[in-house]
Amino acid sequence: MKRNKNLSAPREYTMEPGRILEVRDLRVDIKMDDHTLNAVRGVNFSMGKGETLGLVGESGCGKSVTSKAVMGINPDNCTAFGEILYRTKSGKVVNLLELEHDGAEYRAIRGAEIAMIFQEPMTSFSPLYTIGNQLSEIVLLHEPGATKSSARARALEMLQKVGIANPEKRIDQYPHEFSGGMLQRALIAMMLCCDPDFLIADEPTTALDVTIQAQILELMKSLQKEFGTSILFITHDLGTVASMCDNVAVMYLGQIVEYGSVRQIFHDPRHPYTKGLLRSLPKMDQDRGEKLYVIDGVVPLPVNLPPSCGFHDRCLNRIDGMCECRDIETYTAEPGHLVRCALMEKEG
Amino acid sequence: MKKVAADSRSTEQKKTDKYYYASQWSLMLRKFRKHKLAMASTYLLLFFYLVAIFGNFIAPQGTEQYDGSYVNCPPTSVHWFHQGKLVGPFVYGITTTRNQETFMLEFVEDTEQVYRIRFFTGGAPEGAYKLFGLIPSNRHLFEAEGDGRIFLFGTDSMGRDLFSRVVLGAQISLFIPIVGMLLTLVLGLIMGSLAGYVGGWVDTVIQRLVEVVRSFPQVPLWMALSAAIPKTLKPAQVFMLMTLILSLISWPDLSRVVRSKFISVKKDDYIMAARISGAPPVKIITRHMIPSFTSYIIVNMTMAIPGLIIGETTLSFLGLGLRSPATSWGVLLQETNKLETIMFYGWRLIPMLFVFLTVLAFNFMGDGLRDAADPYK
Amino acid sequence: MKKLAENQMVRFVIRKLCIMFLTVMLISLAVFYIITLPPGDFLTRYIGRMTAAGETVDPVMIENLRSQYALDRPFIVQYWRWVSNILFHGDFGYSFSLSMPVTTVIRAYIVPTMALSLATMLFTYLVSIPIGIYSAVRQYSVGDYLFTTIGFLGQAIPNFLMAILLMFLSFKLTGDTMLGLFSPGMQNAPWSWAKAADLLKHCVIPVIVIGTGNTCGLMRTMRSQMLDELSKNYVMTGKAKGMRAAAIRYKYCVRAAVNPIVSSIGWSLVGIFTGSTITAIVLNLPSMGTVMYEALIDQDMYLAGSWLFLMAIVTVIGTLISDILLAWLDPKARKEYLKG
Repeated sequence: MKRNKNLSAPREYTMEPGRILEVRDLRVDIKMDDHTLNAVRGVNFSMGKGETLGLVGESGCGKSVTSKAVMGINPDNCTAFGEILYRTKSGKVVNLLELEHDGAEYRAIRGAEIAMIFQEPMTSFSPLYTIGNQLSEIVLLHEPGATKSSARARALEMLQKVGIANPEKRIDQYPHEFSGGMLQRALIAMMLCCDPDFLIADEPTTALDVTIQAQILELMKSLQKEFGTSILFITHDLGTVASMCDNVAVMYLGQIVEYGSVRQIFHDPRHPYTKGLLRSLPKMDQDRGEKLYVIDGVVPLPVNLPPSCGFHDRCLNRIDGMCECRDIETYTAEPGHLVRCALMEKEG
Repeated sequence: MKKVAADSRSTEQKKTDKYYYASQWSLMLRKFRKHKLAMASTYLLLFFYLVAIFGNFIAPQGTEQYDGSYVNCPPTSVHWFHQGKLVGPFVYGITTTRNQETFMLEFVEDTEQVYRIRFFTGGAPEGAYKLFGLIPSNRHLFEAEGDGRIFLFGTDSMGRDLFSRVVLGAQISLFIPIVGMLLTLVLGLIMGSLAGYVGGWVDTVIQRLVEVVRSFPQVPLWMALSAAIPKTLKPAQVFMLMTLILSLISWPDLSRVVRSKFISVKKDDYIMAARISGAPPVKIITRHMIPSFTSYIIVNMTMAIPGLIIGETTLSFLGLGLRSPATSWGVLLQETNKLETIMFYGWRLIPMLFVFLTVLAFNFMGDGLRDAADPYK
Repeated sequence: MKKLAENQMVRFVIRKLCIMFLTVMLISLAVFYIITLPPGDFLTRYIGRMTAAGETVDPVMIENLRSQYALDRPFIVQYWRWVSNILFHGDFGYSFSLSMPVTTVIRAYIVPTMALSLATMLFTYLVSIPIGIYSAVRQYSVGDYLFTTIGFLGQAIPNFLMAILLMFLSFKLTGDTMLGLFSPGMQNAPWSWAKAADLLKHCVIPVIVIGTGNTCGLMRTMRSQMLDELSKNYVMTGKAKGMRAAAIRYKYCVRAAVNPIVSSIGWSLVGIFTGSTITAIVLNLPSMGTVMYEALIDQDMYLAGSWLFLMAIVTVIGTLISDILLAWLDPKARKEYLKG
């Protein structure tokens, strides 16, 4: 994704007060050897300051691509269309898709205002430099007055804050001397060094042990409370969403099929896909020997999809002559609860 | 219900589905086919090997035939039209004169004499050669009729037809690397799997051995070992010794690769499963472990062939490998290692082109295979 | 803390040296076996050659040599005599084709050989690393295709063919084949700028010929290493930190990609050292390669064997240098080495 196609004369953008991010009709195409994947196919959502939004879906549904489009770090074979509006610390609203990826303006935002933590902490650090070196680097990049020693002091402080024992010793160690959980903590510390307003967490606990997962989630919650950061939380784990998020967006095949508060999604799911996802969770009161629910079929590839509901061939409530023939609009089920399903139209 | 759903999807989609759900080997083939250079190289090599296999039939002369009156004759050109009339492929007669200043033989076409080129003729005496070393025959692919002479690549200082020698030399130059590679493969696989599977002191001993062999610089060791080949041996024996020397020096690399693959695969669950279910070690090695990195080995071996070709050519070129009258491309080039040959008889460098093309083709093929071996990338 | 690491490093080097000694002993055994490979001992061959040339052979000298090299004793005694001569007296034996001690021969040729090798190595690294980086960063650009093609061609041409070709071209273009290290008139002239220039001129073809294969190989390695590094996750982290793409490339990727290449300097020196053999023979350079070749043709096995032995030792030392460099450059490898 070198530069985005919808470049025109710089426009003034406005966003509702209190909002920090607004994604409007985002589409991302990935060019493969002999075909193009429409990885993201018209995604809309917005986030308020301090809000945590969970972006849920199976692998390949486009949630990672969406988040990387916000960051501007998708690989070169990706092209994004639409608008991603972001309110900077200075209060100005910018369309991130208009910024040059490697340009000074975008770089000043990345790391300092929008930070991101990744799925695999083990490979997210360069093996050749010490943790301290890599942490200080982000401070030196974004704070004009920072010196090596002040940056190091900040790194030390942050390592302490994320609960790394013996940080004075740890700061001079190399990534391979850390465990996975420790590295994820260090990565969080690094990304919070410059006090960003907005944090993207791309499945931050997937590669970790269950006990460590809980610790990391706790850590993120407490840090959010302390810094007031907005978090876009990407995961396929509904349990994590319930404990972490204010709102949830469920993605399927490059589109958001249902959006609502945690309460709305978990207690009153409307989309058959969301219902399926929730039914497939193991429950405490489940009978012994009872099989877990599985959604039949596989996710189709997002290549040259005809106008239709992406989920139609796996849906149990499919309306023939409707779902597979045309694009489905998004309906408002109740205030703040959006569903992209033909069943909503039938119900009225 | 699912069936209907499947039908409703476009053929375009089915094509991509096929791509994503295909088996590993068909994916590899597919990816390899897309590598145009690798495909072209494969066809070129097939062609070379076919020519080498049918060498005695294709080459108009045997390795030991020579003609003192056509020494260092430049390549003859094949003509189609004689005095404006289509005759079909033919050559003119060649007259020789001695240059009075340089005392060198000069060859001039005599445009009065026309010798048509005949195909599948049996001009040679009965049983002149044995096809594949088995079937006696006297037919050649082409010959000039009557007293006509045809030297496509010219002749050498003894009046031997260079084209014939290149074709017959291919039999050695193209097959030494293959035999050498197979020997290397057997040695490398056995040693590597022993070291990797058994481990312990066996591993230590083999590793030490590998280290010692690898400590020898390749080229000098080749040279030293081939220099020790007695000069009295028959060409076939020299051939065998040379392949042995080449593979003795190149097995350690393969064995290291195999060993490290073994060690990494050994810990995989499916090997553990096979072991728990009581499969004997030989079966585990041959059925489960080796297939898991077959593609890797194929790539490695293909990449090793150019080295072996260069090895044979170099040694023969230096006069340390095969010697005349045995013919290989290296032997042919050895005769060009004199300044006046390069200066006056440029066509004598033609064998170089074939060494170059073969090595290049193997490199490209290996590259294509390597890309294809990892089809998910 | 730092002290401890240093101690570990010293212990690491000592352990390596011990293993090295063992390897060298095994190598010497193999070399001596090769020395005795040709039928008949070298004295018999020497006498045969002398008498064939019509010269008289001093029986006393022959007897002395026979007992000095223990030629009438079993293999293992001969071997021990040879090794102990090398170990304790620095005596590598006697070259019968040149009629002088092997040590003298080596001393005469080692300097030009080393000089040529080092010049080639410099050429190799200076050319291949920048091109490799460029090719990876601008993957699939015209420049990348160009360099990849050149790399393939360069690797496919055996050294001796390239030497012949360049000789041929040089003759066609300048009328001089540039054989040897000096023009005929300059060979014995006293040192002057003109002579140095002449030397440099004659070095161009050898350096290109010897260096091309290695350069092309290294270029391709550097490219694929670099591509590998560019696709790693830490690049994404760097971007997320707000680093410039170029800064990520140079601080993280190049350093990681160069590591294995820099640490292979030891091996590559050997490659160049011995790779020059054939080129030297074709171009008639006064290097060890040529001497070795003539020794092999004459089956002057002490000379050839000593040279082989020296090359093997250089390889072992090169490997040691590489191991140490790797431990020094790569923190992870360092840890593994130091541990066990």
